[in-house]
Amino acid sequence: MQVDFLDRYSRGTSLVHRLDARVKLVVALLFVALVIATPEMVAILFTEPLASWLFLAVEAWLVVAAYSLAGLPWRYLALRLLALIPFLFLLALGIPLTRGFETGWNQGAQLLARSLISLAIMITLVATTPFSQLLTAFQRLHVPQVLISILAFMYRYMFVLVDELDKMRRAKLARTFYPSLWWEVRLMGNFVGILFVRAFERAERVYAAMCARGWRGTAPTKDGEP
Amino acid sequence: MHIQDGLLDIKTCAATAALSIVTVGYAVRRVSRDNADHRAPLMGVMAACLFAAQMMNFPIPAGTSGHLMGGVLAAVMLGPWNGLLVLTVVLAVQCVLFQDGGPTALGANVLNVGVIGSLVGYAIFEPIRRFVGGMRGTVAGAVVAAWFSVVLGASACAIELALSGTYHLAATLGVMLLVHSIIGLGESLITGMGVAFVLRTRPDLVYGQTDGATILAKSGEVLVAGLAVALFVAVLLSPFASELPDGLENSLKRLGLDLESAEPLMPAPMPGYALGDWENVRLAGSLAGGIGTLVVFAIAFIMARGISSKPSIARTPHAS
Repeated sequence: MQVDFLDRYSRGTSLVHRLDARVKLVVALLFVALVIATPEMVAILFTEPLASWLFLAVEAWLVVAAYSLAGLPWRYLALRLLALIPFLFLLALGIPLTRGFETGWNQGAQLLARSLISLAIMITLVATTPFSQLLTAFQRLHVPQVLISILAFMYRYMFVLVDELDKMRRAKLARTFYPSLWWEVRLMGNFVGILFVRAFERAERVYAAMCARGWRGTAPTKDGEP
Repeated sequence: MHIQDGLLDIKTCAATAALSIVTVGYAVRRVSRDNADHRAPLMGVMAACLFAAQMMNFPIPAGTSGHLMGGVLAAVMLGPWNGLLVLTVVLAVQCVLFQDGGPTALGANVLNVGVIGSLVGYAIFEPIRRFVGGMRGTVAGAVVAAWFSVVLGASACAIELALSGTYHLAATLGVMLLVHSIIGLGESLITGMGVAFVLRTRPDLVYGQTDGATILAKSGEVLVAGLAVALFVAVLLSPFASELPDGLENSLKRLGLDLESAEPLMPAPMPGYALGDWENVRLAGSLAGGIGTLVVFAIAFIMARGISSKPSIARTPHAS
């Protein structure tokens, strides 16, 4: 699975990297909420229609400042944003089309801006915080233990199972030359079934192995290597 | 169907988040009560499994593609509450690590995919399973519930978007219903076949299937059940096609959420379109009803082909 981009830059040494994960998590979530609430808040304080653009510009500048402070390559941010832009653009385009063109364009453009800024915030958070630290942060913020355990195990086995699915797909491509739609759907149903059975059997093996090593029901979230 | 940040306004985000937190909190309490330490690794691996399954795109005849939501799949395999927790975790990981769905919209996404997929889906699945009985019942219930979970989830999404004032409710609901009644077809077929596969190879793994997993209904009963399901679909969707949009609008107005007055009236480029919006929803509703009936035929087909009267290990490769 091509997801080594997830933790590629998260073990740096900049100021942003060294900040406590809890602080980063809470600040990022509050910041996203602030960005989303910008139009409502600005509407209370100002009547000028361009005022919310000013606020959005300041917020965008803050994210960019945090990102450059972390010293991460710009190409990375650009690529990850680009991957999501086509979908967002279509959604933004829907507003002027369904709500009229005079106010619609402005609203659509603001929606695009707000989405991009909040995406950049989340990308900055994830790119500067290893997943194990995020888990510890969730734990200290009193997220239920069951959810944390599921999260920890999911992160561990996500890559394994996606690889397994990839293997099945490759095997399918090597064997089916002119698949019909019905054939495709049938194969997919079988893939889901096989994936489930294999995952379940893997889970049973993992659980037995963990019990053999003295696991008593606490989540394996140590700060450090997962 | 993952809603991104910026599409929902603050009040909708807060309302959906509150609803989801209450539901997921209850699920956490329920799951923790019956030995969770055994369940944790299993559910973690299942979450990874669902994550992988959601990466599979299936082709849709109209030229686009959709991906599996997996709400009903999780509920059928693991039970409704475990399924909800697993889906919540999958959505959280997609949101934080992959930026698929924003953190402020996480509540709405958990509601649309997790709560509607797993809890509402299970509520549709369980009566059908009991009525039809046996493995055929499980597959039939999963097929019907999967289709409904997608359509209902999409409708919830449209309502949330309209409450935020992002889009016009009538136009969005019509499009969402139409598109997702087709996407739901893929979801229900793949869910049904996935469940059928597991039932053939390891029936003990399916939630609530450990006792009497091989009791199969007689063909006459299956016919009656098929008719009942068709009736069920018709009853559930016919008010949708005729009255529900107005009823929905009225009840929202009574709640003080006047959707139409919040909208600027459509200027002239498409005359008659704004007036006919609810007509479009009705059209979409009845089309969705037609597709729903198609799902019933799909069940008959799957039951006839996928599940033979006896589970034969020799015919299917054992997964290992």
